Amino acid sequence: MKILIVDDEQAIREALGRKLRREGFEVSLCSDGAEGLRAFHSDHPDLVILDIVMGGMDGLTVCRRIRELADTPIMMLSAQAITEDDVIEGLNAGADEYLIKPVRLNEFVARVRAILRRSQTMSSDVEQNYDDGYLSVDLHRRHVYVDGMKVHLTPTEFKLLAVLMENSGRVVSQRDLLEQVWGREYIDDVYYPRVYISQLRRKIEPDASNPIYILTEHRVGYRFERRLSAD
Amino acid sequence: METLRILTLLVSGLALPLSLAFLIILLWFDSEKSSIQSFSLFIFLVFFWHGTKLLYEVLSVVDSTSELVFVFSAVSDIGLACASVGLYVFVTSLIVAHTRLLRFAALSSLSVIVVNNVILLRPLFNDLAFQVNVNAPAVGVSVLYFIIFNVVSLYLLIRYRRKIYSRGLLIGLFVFIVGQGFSFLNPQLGISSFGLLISGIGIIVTSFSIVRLELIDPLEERISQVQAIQQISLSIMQRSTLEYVVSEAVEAVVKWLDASAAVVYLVGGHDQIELASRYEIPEQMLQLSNNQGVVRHTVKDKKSILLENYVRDWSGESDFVLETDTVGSVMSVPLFAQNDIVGVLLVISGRRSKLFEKRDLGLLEQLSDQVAVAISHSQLYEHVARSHAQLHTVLESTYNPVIATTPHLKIMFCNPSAKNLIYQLMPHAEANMIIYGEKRIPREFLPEHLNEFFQSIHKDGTYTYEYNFADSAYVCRVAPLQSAQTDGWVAVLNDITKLRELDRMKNEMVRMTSHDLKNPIQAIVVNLDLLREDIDPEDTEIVESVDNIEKQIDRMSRIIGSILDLERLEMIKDGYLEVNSISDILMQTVDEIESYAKDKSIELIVDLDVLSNINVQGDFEQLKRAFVNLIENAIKFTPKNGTVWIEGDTSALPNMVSVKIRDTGVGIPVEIQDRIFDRFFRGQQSQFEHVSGSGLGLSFVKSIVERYGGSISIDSKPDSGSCFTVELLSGI
Repeated sequence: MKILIVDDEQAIREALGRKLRREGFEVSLCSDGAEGLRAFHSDHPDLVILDIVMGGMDGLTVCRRIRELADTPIMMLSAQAITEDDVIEGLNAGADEYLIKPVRLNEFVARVRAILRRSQTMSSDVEQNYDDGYLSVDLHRRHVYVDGMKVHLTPTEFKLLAVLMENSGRVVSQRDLLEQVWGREYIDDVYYPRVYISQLRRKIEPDASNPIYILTEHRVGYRFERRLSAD
Repeated sequence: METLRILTLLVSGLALPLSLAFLIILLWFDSEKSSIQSFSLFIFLVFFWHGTKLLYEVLSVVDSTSELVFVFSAVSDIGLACASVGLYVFVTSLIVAHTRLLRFAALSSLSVIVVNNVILLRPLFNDLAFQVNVNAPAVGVSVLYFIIFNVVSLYLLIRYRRKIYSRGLLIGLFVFIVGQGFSFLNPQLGISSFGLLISGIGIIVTSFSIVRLELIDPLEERISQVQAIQQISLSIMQRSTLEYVVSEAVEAVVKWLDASAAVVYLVGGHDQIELASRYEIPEQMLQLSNNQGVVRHTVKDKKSILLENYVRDWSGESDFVLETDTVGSVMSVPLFAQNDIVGVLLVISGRRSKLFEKRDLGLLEQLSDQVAVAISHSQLYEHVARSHAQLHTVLESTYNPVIATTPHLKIMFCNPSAKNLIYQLMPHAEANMIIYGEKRIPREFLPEHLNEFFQSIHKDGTYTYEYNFADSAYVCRVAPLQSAQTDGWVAVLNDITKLRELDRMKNEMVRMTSHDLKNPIQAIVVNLDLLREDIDPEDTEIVESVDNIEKQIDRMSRIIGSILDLERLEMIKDGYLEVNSISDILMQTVDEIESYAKDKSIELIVDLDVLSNINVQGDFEQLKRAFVNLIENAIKFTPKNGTVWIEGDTSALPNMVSVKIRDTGVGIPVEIQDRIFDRFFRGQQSQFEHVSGSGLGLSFVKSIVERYGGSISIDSKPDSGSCFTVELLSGI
């Protein structure tokens, strides 16, 4: 497992790297965004850990650049967040995870493992496919087509969609979503589902403001509605 | 000779009825006046003289040898003497001479007339045949009378000529005396009747003059008095300046009283006297002596002073420099306005001009009331004008925009900075001029929530709202001008753009600082965690050190967290109207905090029965954070084995839900209870010095609770625990 850490703070970068190496990961370290992007292209890491405020290219930009090409899981690690909006901005940029500094090392490692687990389990145990003419999902091959066009989903988005589809017709609570998609450690990060649901809607719904696939059950959770042979 | 005699007859015949007619008019006008009475006596005696003389002349024309001619000649001689006495009496009354000497002279003259009558008439009635002989001594007696009375009269007239206001009267009396003198020329010359003619003319002139003096002049005076008063009143009505009023007054007084000069002094606080205006007198001539001058005396005694002859009659210090050369009569009158002396009016007559008498003083006093009112009005007006100007200057130079409007929101006044603002607001075409009373204030400028506005005005008398324009932000405070129904509104704006900018900068700085602190902390934390993995867990000293470092780092990051919590609250724009179950919030709070309470051996007693199924307005997470802080605080300041109660209560206010957090803690002294919600405030409690905290917790709680329309209060006494009551708006 290769992990790329991009952080302009040497002390943090190296400590995190050392810890991850001890945990058995292969780690490469970069001190700024541009270097990080180059490393991403040459090393093809399985996970990118990004600081946001850096000299030169900032973390959000790096994140967007990576997302243009790949679905590699990305973890933001930032001291900048003050409000939920900052976190949501990071998630909207395509991050799968947003950790607010200071974070303890053990928690950090747990989150890294969780995010990797999420992206790995993606291809297994889901067999169902879905196609109603407009939306077509091949869970096994991780292919999603909307109106005939192929759509890229990040691992987290894909996992979210998969969980919802597995329970299609039933309401999945936020808590369950968090647990199943992100992992037990994420139970309290209530805004994750909200952000990812809206991103998912933007990608697969004909009109994101009037969803027909992923419906909100107010104050309870979300529900995937099959629309087979609708038209 | 004959023509002269006929002319004499004619003139005397005219003079007598004319003077009689004047006399009747005068008596009809005012029979009580002593000058008129003495004039009537004089006319009566002259009439007696002229009448008998005329009869004598007529008879001597008709029959010069008739006995009656001699009788009338004798009687007319008596008449001549009587006329002299009459003249004397008249002159003394004219010059208002009531000295003892003159009174004695008048008395003696009367007695002499009586004696004279007896002496003259006794031989006349004893033997009419000897009249021719009698004639000569009779003439001698009347010459004596003439010399005594006429000469005295003449002397008095010349001596007191300034007391006789009418030049005609003076001339008439002179002519009369001359005419009477002619009568003593040798009768054989035949021109004794010429004396009659001249004295007749003198009588006409005299009686006309006295009519003029007593009737016409007073009327004219009344007219000029009315004019003077009108003139002064006019200047009052014009609300003229003080300077103008007093200069008008002195001029009017001088012209009206025929005086030489006049001065107005103003009396200020502590009876301070200063020269206000003067007319026809140089300032160098006036001096205000310290205590004893006429002006000072007038102020001190609050009474008018009349000095006929200043140099002779005034014994105090002089008001003038070199007065002996110039100053004759002086009047000094206090000017009263509402029982306060506001000034002194000093009127001066030159040494060779008019003598002032009581009558003049009376007139001056009448006018002085008007002048006083005028002065006090103009003083008042000037005072008001000055205050107005001061206020205006203050407003004009105020940096804050100030706008006053009519009840219909038309601009009545705006200071330059308000004008600038309005110009910026209005389309260019209209912006060039603001005409007070016509232009409405721009609509954008009005408060948005009119309901709120009227409620606030009704309740507090003012309303404050924020107003944003272009890059500027203002706080606008509106208040009614006295009563809004009639007078309008006044708005004072406060430019808070800079404050806003400062606030923004502060937020930015806090944000940057926190960020810059968080990175080092992160570095320390991760390295510490690495270090912990590397050290020998048996080496207790090192482990302890690492633990200590960790504790302090935790504390530091909690403080940063608190600061950011507050900042986060301020950055959230509107408290969105979310409703959440209050018991859910509290239960989750308790879940979170239970372990902490257990660590500190403090019992948490939760009673939320009354709150089941009740929602409150506010964000779930934020309210939870608020309660966590509050309960944490209670636990923190409660000694081991204490208790913290969390109780719901609905009974407080309509639409409100209250939650009480009670503890058995140390309590909070009353004197700091107001301040515990301030940022960074930490109470000094000796036994709890080890308690760590940022001093931000309660301020954070208050911010959240108030954001959602709630309130927080405290009831506490040292050593008997504290009770925090949180009131929240209940949701539907």
